[in-house]
Order: sequence, then structure tokens, then C-alpha cells
Amino acid sequence: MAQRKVDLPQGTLDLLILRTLALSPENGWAISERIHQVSNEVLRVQQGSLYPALHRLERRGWIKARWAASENNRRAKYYELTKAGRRQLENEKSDWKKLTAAVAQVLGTT
Amino acid sequence: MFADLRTRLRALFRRDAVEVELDDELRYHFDQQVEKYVASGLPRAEAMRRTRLEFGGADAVKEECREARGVHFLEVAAQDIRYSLRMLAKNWKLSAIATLSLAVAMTLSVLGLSVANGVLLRPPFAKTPQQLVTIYTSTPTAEFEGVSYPDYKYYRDHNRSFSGLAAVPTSISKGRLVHGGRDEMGTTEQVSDNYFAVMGIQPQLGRLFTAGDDEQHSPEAVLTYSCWKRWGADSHVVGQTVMLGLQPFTIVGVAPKNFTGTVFGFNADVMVNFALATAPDQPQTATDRTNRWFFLVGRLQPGVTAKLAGADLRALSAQLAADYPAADKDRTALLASTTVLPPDTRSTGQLISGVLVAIVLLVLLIACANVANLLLGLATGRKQEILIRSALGATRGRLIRQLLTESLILCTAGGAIGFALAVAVLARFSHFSTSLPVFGGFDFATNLQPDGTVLAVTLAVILAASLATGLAPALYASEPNVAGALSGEAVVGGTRKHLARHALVAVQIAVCTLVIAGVGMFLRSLHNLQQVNTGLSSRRLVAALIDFQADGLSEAEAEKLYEPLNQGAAQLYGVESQTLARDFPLMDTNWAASEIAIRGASDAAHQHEQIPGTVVDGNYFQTLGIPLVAGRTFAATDSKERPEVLIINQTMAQTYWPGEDAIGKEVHVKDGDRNATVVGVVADSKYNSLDEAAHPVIYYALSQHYQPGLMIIARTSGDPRLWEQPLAQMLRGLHLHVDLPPFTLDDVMHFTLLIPLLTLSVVVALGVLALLLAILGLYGAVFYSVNERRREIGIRVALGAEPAHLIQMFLRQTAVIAGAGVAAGLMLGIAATSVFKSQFFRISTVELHVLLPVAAAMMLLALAICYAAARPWIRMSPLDAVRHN
Repeated sequence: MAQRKVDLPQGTLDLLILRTLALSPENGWAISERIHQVSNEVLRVQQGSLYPALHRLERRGWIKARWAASENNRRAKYYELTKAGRRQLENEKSDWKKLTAAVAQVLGTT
Repeated sequence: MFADLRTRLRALFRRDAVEVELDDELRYHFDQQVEKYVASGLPRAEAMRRTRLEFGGADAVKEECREARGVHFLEVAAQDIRYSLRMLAKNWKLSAIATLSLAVAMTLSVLGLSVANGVLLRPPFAKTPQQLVTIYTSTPTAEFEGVSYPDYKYYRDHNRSFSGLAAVPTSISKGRLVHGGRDEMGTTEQVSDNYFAVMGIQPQLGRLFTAGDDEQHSPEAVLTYSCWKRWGADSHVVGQTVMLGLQPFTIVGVAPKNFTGTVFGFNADVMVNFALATAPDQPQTATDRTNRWFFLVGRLQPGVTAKLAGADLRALSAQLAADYPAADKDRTALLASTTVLPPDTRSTGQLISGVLVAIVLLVLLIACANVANLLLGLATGRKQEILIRSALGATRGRLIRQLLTESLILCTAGGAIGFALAVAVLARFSHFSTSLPVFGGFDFATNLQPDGTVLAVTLAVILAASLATGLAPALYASEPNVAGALSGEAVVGGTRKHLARHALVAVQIAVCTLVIAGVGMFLRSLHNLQQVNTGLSSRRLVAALIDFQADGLSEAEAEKLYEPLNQGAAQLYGVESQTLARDFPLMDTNWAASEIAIRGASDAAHQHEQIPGTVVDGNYFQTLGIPLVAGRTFAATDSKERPEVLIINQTMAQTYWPGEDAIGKEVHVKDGDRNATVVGVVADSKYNSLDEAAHPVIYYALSQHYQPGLMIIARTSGDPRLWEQPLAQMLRGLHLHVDLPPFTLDDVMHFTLLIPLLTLSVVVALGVLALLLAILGLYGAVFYSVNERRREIGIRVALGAEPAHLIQMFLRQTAVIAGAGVAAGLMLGIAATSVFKSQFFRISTVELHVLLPVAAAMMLLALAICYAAARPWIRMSPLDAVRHN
């Protein structure tokens, strides 16, 4: 873990969670692991922000939860994307692209 | 949206299940993490330690999850209320003090609001009262005057704006009512025949007046509900006769319960129509356009605005002014909204209610500052507990919400008690009777019961009070300072929240100083009034009213009674002197003014003078003790056949004939186009009220001006009250009715001072209350601030500080705060005095006689309270002080 950790910008956590769940339903721990791995161990989501975010997304109807057996045969809470969640993910993705492009543009000109 | 609702409902109703799930979910995460570390080669114990470190407080995460799920507001509120009640019960003494002081202040607030609402806003009892308007007339010299009967008829028949226009009296009259076996004094009001129709009032029994009755000249009466009840609630009363004095009226019906008459505050007994008053043998009222004894009440036609109606009336006024310039020149009819107060008293009503509401709100402010201070003190003591809660995951918003819930509970309890008390007080005084000197008993009906408006304002006040009392303590107590509190940091003076609390105390002291200064002003004003020289050297005067007209006596018959009356009074043992006169001094009845011209005056302005006058006999001045300065008093020879003579007061002599002898001078009296000669000048005295300025007065001779009603006034050699009964018996001996009991000069003086005294007692009561609340607040503030600094005190004592020095330190601090408060209060007092100066008697803007003692007393009081509150802590041993927890 030689790499410096990067703080998640405000609002991106939702996007990351939605993106992760777009592949397959996952439980909380697996989500944080997946984000950690996929980001080449740059991003680490602490449970202190992960679970409130999951509960918030569930309340908004973008993800739904069900209890299922995990790979080590324990009961775990799995979250999956809803239809509304998928739409939201597309929106947020395009917003994010616009934002990063714009930021890159600004950074490039200075 | 649906998902949101489902999550919230689940959170609310299946709270335990949700909590268990949350637990399970977090535990799974924890276990997985541990397994991961174990798999990477760490020993299990080390893996658990590391995971726990990474995790931080699981409770904080749970709290955040609950919030993210939108745990239902109601659930939190219920929790807050449960917790608040537990905290308040634990500190029940403090809660009781806070609730009680709020309850007292809220009672006063609701009373003040109800009075202001009832007097200024509430419409009278009528159908769709918002369509009603009141009409009065105004001239450049007189702002509020009534309308005469012939003018009323003109407005009624020629306007195009009103579906009905009725006339109501500008004053009530008191007289004998004879019905069945009863013979009592009652209040009567004369209204036009269409009055009840315009108001849209339905009868309780029988019928009310119908339009056209007045022209029929059939005298009819309608009983008010309260009078009907008093007379036995006889269902066969319709068709019976009631005598008003000597005039029979046929009772046609009974008015409904909520109708108490047309004049606010007075409970009328009998309403009568104009049948007699406007009969052809009464030219005074039927055709005289200067006899303006009505206000008009009109119901606007649908679609007609008040503005249009106003223009309509102005056009009619202009026509009347052109047709009858003598009476109606420059006179305009004006519209006012119809409230229970007649238009001429509305500004006084506004002033009184305004002052009342202002004082009451000040008391409420003190009470709120008090409760805020108590809660702040409580919050200080709870800092530890609150820190533990926030360490366990309570967010700041949640803490603030919970602390605000506490003050909301206190304020709601105080407000509910206050509202209930106010309703009880108003119900008790909605009908009451009192006996006034001279005028006899009066029935008052004040419909001031709080309605929706008052309730809404009260709720708003409760909410505002909750925020005012709770916000500062909540913000202070929830300030995140975990490290400081857990280490048991000693609080040393001079922090920001001390400033806030000191400001609260200063505000309390300022408001209290203001209210006490107000009490002082009232006392001083009353003192000044009592010191006024009435100009009457006799104080032992007794008088009785004689009404020749009501006794059915003609002028000639009445004049024959003058001699027996004088004889009868003179023969009463101990009567030193007696007189017959039209008016008794200081009864606050404006003496009728007549227009006169000063003969031979070079100044053109002296050609149209309105000078008030009265009618007296020759014994008047001797009996009342008014010195004759020049000339003579009236003599038996000043008969109607002889040239008219006058006696004037000194101010009049000096105003119109400065440096000359007024005796023998002539004036021309416009009314009756007659000349009169001044034969005497008497010293000035007080005529209508104690606070009037010196003004010219003319005395006319009784022997030249017959009066249908008179006073017989006697000077006695002892307590004049002992002569009340003999005087009444003497009158009855001459077959005269004595409807109103005889009265003395002292009765009249007390009556004159009645309003100032009543106001004073209300203001004193409020002042005492404000003072008590402020004392409580100051004591609490000092007590808690010393308590909070006990560690510091202990350390200081341990380092060798003398208790006396510590006390001095606290006294010095209090002196600064109290000084600021008193100074601000004095400034406010001076500002208020300059606004209300006209309401006081001989009070200057900066009344040092009042302000200095009040300031000194407030300062001393503040220091004494500080000493009392701080002493117990200072006397504690330093070890106790430091250890005490």
C-alpha cells in the first residue's frame, strides 16, 4: 500500500456503489473490497460512510436489499440495482464525465 | 417515492427488526474484515484489534444509518419527548419555577391579547358583520360628532350605497323602569326602528322593531336577554307594558342572548324605538339639526365598496351643508369599520390596548429571559451527559432538537395553564355590576372571550417563547468540546456564553427598570393630581339630583318648589348653607358652551367665543366656598323680567378685559340673541376635572334660566355622608323621586380618580410581577455562574484569596451588568415618557424624582441578590469546591 490514499470527492460514493452493483448484487463488505481492488487500492470506502450511503440509496429506491447466503455460507445482506437505480447510474455517469472533462479542461489551460 | 415511504414505515413500525438487521449487517462486515486479515497472516487477536480500530464507533455508524433511512420524525419526537419529560421531572424544582413564571406571563399575555382583540378587532354581534360600517360626522373643529335625526333621515332616504341605514345612540341613558311589581333603575338605549333589521338580529321571543314603527309613533320596547332573565324570564312578557319614567312602552319582544346593547361594555336593559322621541311635540329631537345624538350603522349593498359608499355620503353631506349651513356647514359624514367601540373612543381604545399589550409582552420577555437563563444553567450542569451522548453517536442537530423539545414542553405547559386561567378570568368578568357614585349601579357586559385569532396568536407566542428560551441553551450545551469535558477542564470566567447569559440578565434588568419607572410615573402623576387645588374651600358637600321633568312637573310648578327645597335643606340639623345649581363640580361632564360676543371688544376674535357655562343660584359660591372677587352674587331681584345678569370667573375677566374692571361690561349671547351684564367676578376653581387648565366660565342665574333637572347641594358641619339620608327624605317629603342616591364631593373626587387608580393598580401588579421574575432570573443567573466557576473559586481560595475579595469580585461583575441594564432601562423609560407624556399629569420627560430612586433601588437590589446567591459558594471550603461534582 505504498500509494497515497485519495479522499472521495463529495457525491462520488453513490456513483461508485451504483457502478459496482451494476455488475452483480453484492453485500456491503464485498462492495468496499471491490471498490478497493478495482481502483488499484487507491480508494478505500470506510464503513462509516458506506452503510449510511447504502441505506440512503435504498430509501431513494435506487437499490433494494435482500438477505441471502454468502460464499462462506453466512447470512448477509445483498444489495441490487433497481430499474430506477440503473437510470440514475446512467445520469450520474454522464454528469461525472462532463464534470471531469470540464475540470480537465480547466486544469489543462492553466 | 414508494420505496421511500416503505423504508420509513418499516423503520417506524418494525423498529426492532430493523435494528437487528443493522446489527447483523455490520457484524458480517466486521467478521469478513477479520477473516481477511487472518487470511493475510495476522494472528486472530491482532486482526480483531486492527479491525476494531478501523471501524471506529459502531454506534455512530448506526445512528447515521438510522438518519439516512429517514427514521421517522415522529419516532424521534416521541423519543425526545420521553427523554425531555424524564429530564424535567429530575429537575422538577427548576421545571416548576420555569412553568409557573411562564404560566403567569402567558395568562397576562392572553388577557392582554383578548382585550385588544375584543376591543379593537372583533365585530359586534350581527349577521355578516364585515358588511357593516359605522358613520359619524366630522368638522374642521370637531373630529368626532354624531348625526342629528333629520340629517339621519336624509342620509337614510337618499343614499344609494346601503341596503339599510340605522341610527344608534352615542350614549346610554339611565332611568326608572317600572314593570309588574318592579321599580328599578335601568339602562335604556334608543335605536331606530330598522336597527335590528340592518344588524340581521333575530328575536329570542316575540318580534324586534320593524321599519315604519317610528313614523307610527307607537312606543315599543325590546328587552335584552339579561333583563328578561332578571325579570323572571316570563314567556308571556310580549304585549305587557314597561314604564320608562312616566312613559308607557309596549314590550314587543326579547333580543337574543349575545346581544348586549349598542354601546360597548354596557349591558343595556331595554331597547326602545324613536316613536316618542321624534313625536311632533318633541321638536328638539325630531327637527333640530344641531342635536347630534346618533352614530349611524349601515349595511353595504352587495358590490358596493366602503370607498364608493364614502363618496356617496360626501355628496349627501355637501347637499346638507348647502341646504342647512347653520348646522351642517363644513360637516362631512365619514365611514369607519364597525367594531364594538364607537368611533370617537377608538383612538383611546387603541392607546390603552397598545400600552396593555406592550407591558404584558415586556413581562413575557422577562419570563422568557428567566426560563432561558434557568435552562442555560441546567445545560451547564448537563454538559457531561450531553458529551457522552454525542460520543455515543448523537448528532448535534439531534441534541439541539432534544433540548428544544424540553423548552417546548415547558412553554406549552406554561401556555396551556396561562390560557386556561385567562379564559376563567374573562368568563368571571364577562358580566359584572358595579355601583358608580352619582350614576348608580351599572351592568357591564364585556365579551372578551378569546376566539380563534387569540388562540392562533397564543400558539405563535408559545412557539416563539420556546425558541427564545431554548435556542441559546441548546446551542451552548451541544457545542462539541469532547476533549475538554472529559478531562474535567475547569471553566474560567469570561467565555462567550457568559456574555450571552449576562446579556439576558441585563435585558431583564432593563425591562424591569422600565416597568418600575412606569409605575413610578403613574404614582407621581396621581400624587400630582391629588395635590391639585380645586378652588373649592368646602370639602363637606352633599348633593342630590332632582328631575322635575321625570316627576311630571311644569316649569311653574317646579319653580314654586325652589323655596321649600331651600327651606327644607336649611332646616336639616347641621346644614350650614345650601344651593340649587344645574351642575356639580368635577363630575367630568363637559359644561355646555354657548357662543358669545364681547361687547365693545376691539379684538375681532372676541366676537365668536365658545365659553362653557352653568346655571346657579345666589348661594352657590358661598356654599361651595368660591370667593367672590368683585361685584355681587345673584339676588332674588334678578328675575326673568329684569335684564339678564352674569357672573364670570377671574380667567374670563382677565382674558377679555385685561387691566379693566369687568363689572358692568356687556356680552352678547348668540343663542336667543340677548345681551347680558357682568355683575360679579369669582375666583377660578376646577370645573370638570382635576387636570383641566384654567379657562373662562360663565355662571347664569337660575332665577332667569329654568332647568328641568337640578342639584341640591348642602354644606354640612360634619361628615357629609351622614346627611345623605336626611336630604333624600326631605326631597321625598316634597313628593320628588330620589332615583339616584345622594352623593358627596369625596365620592365625586374618588370617581374622578377612579380611572387613574384602576390603571395604577394594574400597572403596579404588573410591575411587582416583573420585579419578582427579574429577581428570580438574576438569582438563578448568579447562582449558576458561581456554581460553574466553583473549581476556579476553590483554586483561588487555596492560593490565598480572601472570601471578601471573591464576593467583591462577583459584586463588581454584577454591578457592571446591572448598571448596563439599569442605564438601558432608564433610556427606554425616558423615551416611553416622552411618547405617553400627555397621558400623565404634570410629568416632565426626564422625571428625576422617579428615575433616580428607581435606578438606585434596582442597583441595590441587584447587588443584594448577587450577594445572597454567591455567598454559599464562597463559604465552601476550597477542597469541597474543587472536588464537588
